[in-house]
Amino acid sequence: MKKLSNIILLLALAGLGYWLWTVFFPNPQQVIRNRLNKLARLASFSPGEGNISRISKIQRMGRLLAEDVQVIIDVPGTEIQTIKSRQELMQAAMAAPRFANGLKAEFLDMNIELGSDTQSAIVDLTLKAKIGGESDLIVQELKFTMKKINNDWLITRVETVKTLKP
Amino acid sequence: MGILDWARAIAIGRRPKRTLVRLVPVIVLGLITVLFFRFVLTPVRITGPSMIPTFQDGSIKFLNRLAYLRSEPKRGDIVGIRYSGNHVLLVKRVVGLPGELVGFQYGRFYVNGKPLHEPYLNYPCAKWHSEPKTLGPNEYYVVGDNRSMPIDFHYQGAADRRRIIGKILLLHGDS
Repeated sequence: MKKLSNIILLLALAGLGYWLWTVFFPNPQQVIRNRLNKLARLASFSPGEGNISRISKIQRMGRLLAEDVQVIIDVPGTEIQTIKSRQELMQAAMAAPRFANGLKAEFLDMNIELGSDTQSAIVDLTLKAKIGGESDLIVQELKFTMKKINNDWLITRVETVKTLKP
Repeated sequence: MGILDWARAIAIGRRPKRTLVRLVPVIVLGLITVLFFRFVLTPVRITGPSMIPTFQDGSIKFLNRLAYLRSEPKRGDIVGIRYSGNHVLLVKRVVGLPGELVGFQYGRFYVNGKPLHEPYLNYPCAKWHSEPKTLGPNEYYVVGDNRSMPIDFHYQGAADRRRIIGKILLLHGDS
């Protein structure tokens, strides 16, 4: 019985050790996943959110983006829209509450492909967003390009993916 | 009898072996149910008006994920099309098959120059028009049944075969 207890204790310690290892030394995929989930949280806002909170969230969002980040939005029914810098993207995010009564965004089904040099990555994911007061969901497949700049994974490019080809 | 003994008696009964014998079938059945609804017949909640009148907004349907293991999608099938994964799906009807020349003219869908008979449509829009295109060897043209809106507001087009993950089961009452 004592032997069994020792084995269980040993297994529990090994599990705890592995968990601590992944917390302190996460693999690049986990870091990228966490960063993108954080981006979705920071991009979301509630209808009554104050300006100070919004500015703070957008500044934190800016730390996830490369200075020359490019965003290309090509969806049916509208002209192609592009954003060509972090500043421009942050301004657009700041203006968003004027056009929408709250936003809840989440990124689902992330497929992360690390570059051979492990300094870049391509992430294919699905954006699911709900705008306050609207019944329809926004669902859009997106492709993120990320690069490791100064030991930090930053978003350098975001583009919409055509799930169905017109 | 202490609290721990009471908790033990409630959790595993007074005869643990008998409890285990009773629990095993329940656990196995639960596991089979989870696997069945995850990998064979996945429940899908329809969101949006794209498939009206065949499917109403908010209705629950089942996606047969084994439907295309041995055969390919057929014209008229209502299929589930994945985005980057399986959490969110597009539900559309297959109207064009690989290699066909397809397109809309005055609201009607044409396949190789001939109009397609679509009895399931209630609200065709006469203004739907698109340039004819030839589908690739792995492409299926999919569109919703509700065509009352302008073509730009209805998400439709060619889906790669790899994205089609199953066929929606039509139940009594569906068109």
